[in-house]
Parts: sequence; structure tokens; C-alpha cells
Amino acid sequence: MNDRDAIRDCLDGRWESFRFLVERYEREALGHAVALCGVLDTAKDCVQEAFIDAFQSLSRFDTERSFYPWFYTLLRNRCFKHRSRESRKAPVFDPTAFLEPPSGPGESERELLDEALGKMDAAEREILLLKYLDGLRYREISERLDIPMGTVMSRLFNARRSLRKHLDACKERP
Amino acid sequence: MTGHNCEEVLLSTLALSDGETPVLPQAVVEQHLDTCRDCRRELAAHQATGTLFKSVSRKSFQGHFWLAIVPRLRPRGAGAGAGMAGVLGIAATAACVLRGGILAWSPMLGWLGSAATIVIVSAAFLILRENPFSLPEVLPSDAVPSPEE
Repeated sequence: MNDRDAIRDCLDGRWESFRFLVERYEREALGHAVALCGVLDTAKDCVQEAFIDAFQSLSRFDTERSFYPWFYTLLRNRCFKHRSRESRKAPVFDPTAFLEPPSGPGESERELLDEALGKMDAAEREILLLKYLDGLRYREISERLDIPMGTVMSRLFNARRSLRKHLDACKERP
Repeated sequence: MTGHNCEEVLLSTLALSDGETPVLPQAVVEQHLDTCRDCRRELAAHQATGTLFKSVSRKSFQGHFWLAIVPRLRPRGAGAGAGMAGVLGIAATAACVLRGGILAWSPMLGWLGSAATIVIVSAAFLILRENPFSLPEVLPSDAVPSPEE
């Protein structure tokens, strides 16, 4: 079975096939949602809601396109909606949220980077992680975030600058 | 420093180092960098930031969402069926009332009421194109192969 078969099955009424898509993408989606929300529990809620949104909107999905980039936009909407609802509360952040611990030396650098990422604006963090951790090309980022290529370039530029500022701040802290 | 905007040059340089198509031609970028110390410094800092990610990867999380999602997907089908059943119920009730009315008006035309009932219920089935009295689908735990298979 592949994504297209699963989607076609769902559209034909065999909704259990949606399980294939959920199990295929849940880990990736959760990683992305954590990057957007900063908190695992919130990210889990957003992923769950996004899968339900996707199921309910499958009839509008263009089967010629890939599923995940489309799903990502739904997930992103969920995460940002949640963030705007929670914006009045004090931000909660899990400092070890984004990066896998390295297998060899470099633990302190990883911790520092994780901390700096956590202090960044979610949209800036998102674009950096899409570029450096997911290895997406500018064109793919542009499609994923629905922004022009030029905007991808300038947002990446600003995000790198912002990360550097946060890294310096984290280093200076006693 | 050449006539080009420093930010444009930096965006182009970073695009080049990311293996992407730059806004400005490479020769123009190089010429600018030869003469602009600020851009060279800024570029070095950006590239150093990029290298920080070379030894790290995205943290992976375990998520088992299917069981949490299923109850929210299932009622959709069952709910639709229940809605259809409601429509059919109303149609059948209307047909019975109609039959009773015809019988009360003229017992000789009782067959007309029966025929009307059958026609109304059959029409409802045809229009809805679904049997609302069928049992909801049972969740098959192994019917769909998992992506790892």
C-alpha cells in the first residue's frame, strides 16, 4: 500500500486505511509539531487534531501531490492556532525538545543549541530546522510554508542571525 | 565595497553555499566580498551557525495516535447512518399517516395507502443510496498494513 492507495480507499469509504497514513507520518509530524509548539504534550494534541482535520478534508486533497507537505500545512495551522490561544500565558518550553543527543562528544554544544532554538521565535526555528535537520531545498521550504523563494532566503538569513544572537546570550549566561 | 546591496550579496552567498541558485551572479558576489569586510564577517558567522547543525539530528518521538483518533473518525460513519435512519423514519411515519388517512376517508381504497407506503420508503432508500439499518463497520485491527510492512 502507498499514500495514494490509502487516500483513495478512504475516499471510497474504507476509512480504516487512514491508519496507514497516521502510522507512516506520526513520528515525523510529532517532531515538527514539537518544533512549532515547544512542548511535547501540546504538540501531541496538535498532531491528533491535524490528523482529524486531514481525514475530514481528504476529499479536497489533490492526489497528484504528496500527502505529507499538504498535511504539514494543516499541522502548522493547528500549532499556530494553539500558540495564539496560549499566547497570553507564560511560555512553557522543554529545553531538550528539538535535538537528538549526539552519540559522541559535543553534548554541551547540543544543549546550547537546543536552548537557543527554544528561545527563538517559532517561525524562525521552524525554517531553520526544515533547512538543516530535514535537509529541505529552498523550493521545498517555499512549498511547505507557502511563501516565495525570495522570502525563504530572507527568512533563513534572519533566522540564522537570530539563532546566533540567542547562542551568544546563552553562552554569556552564568 | 561595490554598488550592490550587502544583504543581497549575503543572501546570494548563502544560497550558493546551500547549493541553491543565487540572486546575483557568482562573479558579482565574489567581487563584492573582496571589497566588503562587513559582509565577509557576516558571512563567516552565518556559515559557522550552519555548521552547528552538522552533528545533530531532529529528536524523534514515539507517537501512537491511531487509537486516539479512531473514536473521532468512527462516529462520522455511524453518525451519517443514524442521520439517514432518521430521514427514513420520518418518511415511513409520513407514509403510515397517509395510509391511515386514506383508510379513514375510504376503506375501499386501503390498497392505495399500502402502495403509497411502499413507494415512499423505496424512494427514500433510492435517494439515500445507503441502507441505514446496516451495522456499523467493525474496526479491523490488522486489515490495513502498517507502513513498516
